Amino acid sequence: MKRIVLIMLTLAVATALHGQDTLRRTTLDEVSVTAQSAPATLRSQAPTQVVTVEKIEQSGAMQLSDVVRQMAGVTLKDYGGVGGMKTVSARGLGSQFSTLTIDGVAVTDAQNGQVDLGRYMLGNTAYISLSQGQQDGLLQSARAFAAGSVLNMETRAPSFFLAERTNLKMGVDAGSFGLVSPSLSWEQKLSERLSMSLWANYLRSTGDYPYTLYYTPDHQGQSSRERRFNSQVRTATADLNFFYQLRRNQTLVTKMHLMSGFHALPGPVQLYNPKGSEFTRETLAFIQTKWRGRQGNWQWQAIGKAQYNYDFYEDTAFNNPSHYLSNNYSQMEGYLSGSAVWSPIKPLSLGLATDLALNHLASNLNVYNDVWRRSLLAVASACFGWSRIELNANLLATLIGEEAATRDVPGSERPASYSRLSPYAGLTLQPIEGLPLRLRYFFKETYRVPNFSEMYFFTIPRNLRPERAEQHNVGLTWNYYQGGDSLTTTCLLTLDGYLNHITDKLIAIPTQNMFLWSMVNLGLVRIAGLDLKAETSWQWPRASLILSVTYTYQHATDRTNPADRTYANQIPYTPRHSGNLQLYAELPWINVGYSVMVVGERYSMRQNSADYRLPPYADHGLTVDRSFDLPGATLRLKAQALNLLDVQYEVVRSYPMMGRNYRVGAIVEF
Amino acid sequence: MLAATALTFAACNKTPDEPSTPVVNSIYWRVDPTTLEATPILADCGISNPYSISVFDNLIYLTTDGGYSSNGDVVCFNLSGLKQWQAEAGILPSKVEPYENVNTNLLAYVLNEGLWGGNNASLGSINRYRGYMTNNVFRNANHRSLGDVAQDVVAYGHKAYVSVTFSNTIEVIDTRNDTVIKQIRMGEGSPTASNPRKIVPHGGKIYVSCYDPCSVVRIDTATLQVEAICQLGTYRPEGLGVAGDKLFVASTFQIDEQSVPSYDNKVYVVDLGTFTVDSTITVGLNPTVLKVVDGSHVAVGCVGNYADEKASLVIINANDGSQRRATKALYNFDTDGGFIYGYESTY
Repeated sequence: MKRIVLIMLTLAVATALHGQDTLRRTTLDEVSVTAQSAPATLRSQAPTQVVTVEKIEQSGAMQLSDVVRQMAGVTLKDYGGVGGMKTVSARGLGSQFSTLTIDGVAVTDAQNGQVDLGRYMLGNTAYISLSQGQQDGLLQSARAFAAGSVLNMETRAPSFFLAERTNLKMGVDAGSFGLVSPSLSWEQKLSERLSMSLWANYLRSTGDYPYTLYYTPDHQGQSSRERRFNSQVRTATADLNFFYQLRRNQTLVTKMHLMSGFHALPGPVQLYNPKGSEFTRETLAFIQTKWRGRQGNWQWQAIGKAQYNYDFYEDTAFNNPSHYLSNNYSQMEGYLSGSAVWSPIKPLSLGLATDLALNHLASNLNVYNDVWRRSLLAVASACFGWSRIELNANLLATLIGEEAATRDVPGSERPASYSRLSPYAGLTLQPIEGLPLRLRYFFKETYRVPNFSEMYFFTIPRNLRPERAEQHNVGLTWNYYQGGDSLTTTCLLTLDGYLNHITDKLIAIPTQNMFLWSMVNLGLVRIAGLDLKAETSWQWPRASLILSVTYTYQHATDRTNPADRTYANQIPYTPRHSGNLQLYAELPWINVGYSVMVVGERYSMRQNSADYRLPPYADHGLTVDRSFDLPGATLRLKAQALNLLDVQYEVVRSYPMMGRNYRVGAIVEF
Repeated sequence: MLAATALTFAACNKTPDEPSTPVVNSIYWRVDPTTLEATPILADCGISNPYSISVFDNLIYLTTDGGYSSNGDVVCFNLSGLKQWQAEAGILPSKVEPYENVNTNLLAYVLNEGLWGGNNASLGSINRYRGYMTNNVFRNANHRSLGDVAQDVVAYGHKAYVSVTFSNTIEVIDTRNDTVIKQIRMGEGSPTASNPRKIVPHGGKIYVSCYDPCSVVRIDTATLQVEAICQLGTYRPEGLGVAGDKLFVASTFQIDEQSVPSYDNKVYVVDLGTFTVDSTITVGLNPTVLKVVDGSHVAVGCVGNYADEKASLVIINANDGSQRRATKALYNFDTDGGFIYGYESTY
């Protein structure tokens, strides 16, 4: 029993691939609470997918979005190219219910409520995990409890071989359409207790890829070959981390992150009128520190964070006398989080988590330009694990207050304050001892307050109600392991069915003034879905093969009003069927990876008629890589062909995706 | 939807002290431009969120917005308010325009604006008396879409002209088979202007208001070339109409470098002979819809600033430039048989 609780509390590593998921766990007593272990995927209550650094390297992924698009149960909205915005929606809930965390600390954008996953580069990542519902374990921030799904990017902690004190890694990626991305990683052991890592990356791309422009939505009419333009990207990222072991069971991790970027926005392709005059410059800077510890039957975590975003937008051919328009937005956030878990008796753990956040938004727009939002989130949680059963429950209290200068618009209302209690309950069950089959269930309610754009910009300010999402999930996990001298085989299977409802969905309706939209709580969406993930690996003494398959079914339909033409229609940009297949073979002289992503038909509008249909597509990729031992260093070379069959498709209407393109990369590790 | 909300709101705010004139539960009115008498119409039409109104040959065509994410409808009524038929159109149907076909006086084009960035503007054709709709006649005849956000369609002789503002084109089509005679690419060559908006035909020419620069261009219907441009001010021109030898152009709003809108209150009067601005007439704030009634009155729908300055309907006497304000602030309207038919603003 002690084992299960301990595992849960430490977010212990899933060793599924080695078949030890149900086996010995006593050694975990030695694992420090901050050991860099990915969350469990088989014994978790929430369907959790983990992509480790090895898999990231195998797939040749460069941006966070490259990894996320391969996961089950997600829809990535991709505006095309390296620089095009990429947002993720988990299980039809919409991107704003998804929280991105870096090392467990949320990255927020109170203005838009969603983050562009294309802006996060992967070179410094230990693993990426996606938990539907919520992550396992009680030792989390209240924000993590408050999310509809959590996408976590865990920074690689330095590890040093024997007496070495320095790890140095340099790499460069280059690819079609002006893609160049050098990076540097430096890890230094400063003392027995203190180490640091510095990671820096620069990315540039011209993004002027060719595409086929179809002049009818069914692709049966005229077409022409065109080229994207005004699509150049330059970003620079620096990430400095300090890892300090205070005592045996206490760690302090501090991260300083700076990202600065320039994006030209190619915009939608508008027939007969190629143009491009919009640009953005953005800066994201944050410093966060996390203290984690364990003493007796107590565990705790404290987080402090300060974040600053600056976004500048300009249109150099805007339709006004000076042919120029610019907007800027600056956001600040102060954030504190404290969590504690107490395990008074062996099967029971009790937790409390409290987050305080202060957000400020200023802009040069002549609307609300001085918005303050204060949030208090508090979670009481309990976990009871007995024998092969584990029960979890928590209750989240949300209190949000807001202040903004008013504007004289008819029908405008003072910004609201919000308060709500949201429950979660979950169960994990292993029906038969010794059989690696587990069943799981959870129910969760999530509450999303309107973001600043919805509240204040280009809208008539109203007392909007938050969107509410209810999630029910039933799933099973199974794994299989057979070891041997000549061949080791593993299989892993997870299958989850879910039923989600979104009520009071916020929908933007234009008013008679084209610059003034009105947000209304108007939608009801029901999502019935299925996520399947199967993975098998075969390991011989000198070669190995990994095959993984995911399939996602999402019947996500508008249930607002039976009289509407859109009633029971699939919500926009959500395929009913989608799936991935990935194959990776490690051979004695070269490693080969192949992947294909298949996405079924989607609709760009809420009405599912032929005019708004986006046809299905399949996107194939091929990767080869090889490592060489050099004196005092290793060199890894890789080459990739992406969209191998040069399929012309769009994820978002009027934003063509890149056809076949190539990337090569080299990494030297000292 | 918004109109309905505003209506309810207005109804609730009526205090008992106000004059006990019978409250007419209508947002639709027929206005006589001479007497300014307003008569309620379409009393029980059941459409509280019209997107546009077109009137000709004693039939009224209302369109609905489909929630901005699905196809809207065209609903036809006779002048007594009796519903004739209803038909599904495309995204944001914004105008019904009769045209001559081999079946003269039977068909009308239905222009669907489409949404920005969606390239889903479209042109349908409808049987005016039965409501049989053929969607996408432009696309079917030409194997390509109209483009991004269609603004106006005008049939003139055996040709029809469609302005597609973000595709920056004017498509000239043969109304007998819907095939394109010429795609006029705006913003290319000289003289020219970009972002075409509303179109009015007159004397073998069409006049098109354009946003960039804020101007009206003249296109010859025989050569299909832009032959002259008349520059206006810095505010975006919208509705336009010809009365006598003058062209009246509504001047709406502009957006400054910080996205702040400001509103004009002028109607430009352009001399058709010299094709230069003759004078301006000050009307209400943000004049947008402009239509000529019976050749002698110019009806101007002023939208206001969506805040303290409310909407109004101004009737200009085209002969002497004098103006009067109608009692009903029709936001959107059409003219037919000497009357103005329209619906009230929710602002």
